[in-house]
Amino acid sequence: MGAALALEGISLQFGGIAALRDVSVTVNAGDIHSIIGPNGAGKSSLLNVMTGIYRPDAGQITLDGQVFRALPADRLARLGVARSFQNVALFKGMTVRDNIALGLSHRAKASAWEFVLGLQRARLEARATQEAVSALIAQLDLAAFQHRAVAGLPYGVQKRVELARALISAPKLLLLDEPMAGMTAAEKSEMCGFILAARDEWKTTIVLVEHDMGVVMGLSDRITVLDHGVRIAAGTPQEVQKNPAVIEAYLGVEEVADMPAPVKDLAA
Amino acid sequence: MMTRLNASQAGAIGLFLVMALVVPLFPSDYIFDAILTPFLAISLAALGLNLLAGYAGQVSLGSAAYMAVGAFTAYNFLLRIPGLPLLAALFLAGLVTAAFGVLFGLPSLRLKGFYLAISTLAAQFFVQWALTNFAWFSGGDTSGVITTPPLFIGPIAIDTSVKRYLLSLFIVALLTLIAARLVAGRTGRELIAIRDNELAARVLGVKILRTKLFACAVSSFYIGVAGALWAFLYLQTVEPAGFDLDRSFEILFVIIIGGLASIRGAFLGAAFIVVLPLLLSRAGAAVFGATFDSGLVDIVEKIILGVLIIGFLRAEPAGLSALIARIPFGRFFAFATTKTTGNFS
Amino acid sequence: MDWGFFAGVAIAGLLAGVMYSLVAIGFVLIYKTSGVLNFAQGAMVLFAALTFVSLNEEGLPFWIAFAVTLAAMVVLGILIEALVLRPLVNQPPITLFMATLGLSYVIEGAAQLFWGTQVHSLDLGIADVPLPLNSILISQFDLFCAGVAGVIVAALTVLFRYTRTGLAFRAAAEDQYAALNTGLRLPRIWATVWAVAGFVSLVAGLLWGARTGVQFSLSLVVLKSLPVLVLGGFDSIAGAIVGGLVIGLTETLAEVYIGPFVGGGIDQWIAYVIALVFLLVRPTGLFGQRSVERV
Repeated sequence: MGAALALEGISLQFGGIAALRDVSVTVNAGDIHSIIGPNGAGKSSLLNVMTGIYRPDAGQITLDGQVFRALPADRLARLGVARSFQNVALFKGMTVRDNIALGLSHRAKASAWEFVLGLQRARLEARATQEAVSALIAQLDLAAFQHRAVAGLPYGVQKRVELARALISAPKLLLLDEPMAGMTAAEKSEMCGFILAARDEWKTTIVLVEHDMGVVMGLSDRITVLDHGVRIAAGTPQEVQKNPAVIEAYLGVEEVADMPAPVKDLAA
Repeated sequence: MMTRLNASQAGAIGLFLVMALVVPLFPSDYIFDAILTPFLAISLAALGLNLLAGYAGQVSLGSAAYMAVGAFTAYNFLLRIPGLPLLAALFLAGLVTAAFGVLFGLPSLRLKGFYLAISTLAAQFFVQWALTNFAWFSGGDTSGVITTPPLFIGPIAIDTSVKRYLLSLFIVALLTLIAARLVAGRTGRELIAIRDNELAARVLGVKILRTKLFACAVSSFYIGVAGALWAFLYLQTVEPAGFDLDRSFEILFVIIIGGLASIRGAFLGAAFIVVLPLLLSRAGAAVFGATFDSGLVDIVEKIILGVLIIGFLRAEPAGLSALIARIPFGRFFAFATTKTTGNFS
Repeated sequence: MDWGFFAGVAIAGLLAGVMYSLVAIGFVLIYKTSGVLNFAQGAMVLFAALTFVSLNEEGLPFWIAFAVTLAAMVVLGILIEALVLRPLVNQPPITLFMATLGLSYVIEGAAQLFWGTQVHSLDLGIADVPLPLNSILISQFDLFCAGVAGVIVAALTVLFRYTRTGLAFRAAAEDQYAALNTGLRLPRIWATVWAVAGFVSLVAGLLWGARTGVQFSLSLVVLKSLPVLVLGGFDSIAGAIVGGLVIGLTETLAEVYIGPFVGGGIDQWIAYVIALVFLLVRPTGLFGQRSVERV
């Protein structure tokens, strides 16, 4: 069952720059919730606050009823939270299968020595992991690449591997940082399919930071709009599309919607 | 356990059998004393360093210091506890080195890259100094020299070149097997994950601290035992100066040439490093005759090593280990290969 | 507590620190402009000193030998840049560091191959008669070194802050692509950097060589500059000075006051332990730049 996430009054400063100012976001359980805004709006910062990488200077986070001053990044996985990164944070020295398998690290019970000695608990765990990996490889259509090192793979495939790694733990909350960036139209619709399938199968709550308006409007149940670190709108896609502040800051600029999403954003 | 052997495992077992049953029949002691026994000790040290530097990505410039700790600890255990079995002394030496490694490894938890590398020099110079200055470590010898006591496994005296070789072989083979199984499982994955993207690893729930310290401990254990083997079974007389910075670099070069993050890389690189000076002096004597002295060999070896290091880092970061996989029947020599590539990120 | 003695020891320590700083400045130059920690710096200092001394012994007068050696250093630097650094430009910094490790072996070996392994003595014409200051004896030679170091530091600081070349250096270090975009010619910049670094290495090599004789262990001594860099930050010349002074002072004081209790030799390792402790507290050094990691 998906988790509900609520951020209240989040403020974040880097040196003299305020990345986020008193931002509140309410994500309903099981929703697909997008966070949009122009470059530099603070979207990635917000995502990083949601995943405990940045500690907010003010505000609080409520995840599934539990209140946090700041989310602990190392316990994220156990809390049922998974994410993808803007720069595709795969482990370059490993194969696809190994990368995905790491998504289950937090569940590991058997110690290293049990693996060495070949004890039953370790063997069962290893087998279960491999089965789960195979299941996800099938689900995300990665069979052709599964034994290859991720370093040489096409960008779109790498993003799918990252998604698989995030999904393998059947997370309650999934945060995706620009999952469509740098993808062709065909790849994008494929990705949308995977995201929707994940939501349908596990009722995962999904938070999306994304530039592609077509994807955003088509997928989202609700949208939060940021500009210069401040929330300027929140609501359903229809509401947001008609919001004059949003149009002025973001949507009204025709080119934004048509611009090909950059492969690597230097600032978001 | 494994129900089917793959090609690389078959190759490993085959090679071990050859080394254990066929090689000892060689009549010449030289092969064992000058080539095989040091090869095994260096391989073990490189294996240990590879766990830390290749898999976990934490470069250490002080591995010789850990070898020294292992050697001198084993010596002290054998000296001060009469009747202590040799294998127990080696095991305890490994444990002490592991503890030492964890202690000096604590800073590595916060440091990365070349900051980490520089911090490892502290262990290197401190250990060398301590072992030289305090005669207690060498049982009273004021210049820090230790000499192997008579060694026994049960009633069997380890007093011939072949026996020293076989003992090294069994110890190294056992520890290699353990290391191979370690990296093949979840631990190997987690080490590489921490190396390649620590943040992502943390978010996935990999226990960073615990895993790093574990890598430190296991790596130090291996290097410590290697140092003891080096001192007792190869050199038989050793002093702190034998575990200097050049030795640390030598081990590091072994894994760069052999291939980072690979079990077989340690062996390939060690074979290369052990054999190179011997080849050079033979070649030099053949070409230049009697005027080719050992000092010249050292200098030429130094230049060649340096060039190779640069060359490998440029062209084939996965070292000899990757090159070997491409030759015919290379699969049989690919012992316990992990399908990983090494880099120092 | 004999304050006179203490002052003498302290000053000797500071002056020794100046020597470390000189070598560290060479590191900083390379790092500031190319982001590479050049482990081969020590080997380069040795190479510079050996080349100079050998040319001198062959009969070349001081300044000619100096000029020739400087030219050789520049050529060496350009070769290094082209053969080692540029091919590895996309690799993580630690790989480059490893490559410079290999490089140090090549340069040391080559230097020994060409010029031999015996110790050379180097006379710079400064009588090492101790200067009495109040009741403290100060080495005249060490003072000269400090003076030279001071001049070099001042010149470099001016270069980096106030000249266009210096600005170009910093730009190239900060962001190579941006620098290229603004029309800076990177190969020329790097050649200049290596020339300047070569000059500093040569001066350091001459001073160290005059102090302890030009020999192989020179490159080991230079390793000591690494803790200096840790303290001062890898990209700060001022830091290299302060770091050098701190290390030199602490090391000498420790050796003189604590050394006798433990058999001496503390100076072999104390610098590294200081660096280690420091790294735990402030990983980017006293003056270094903290980089913000974007996720």
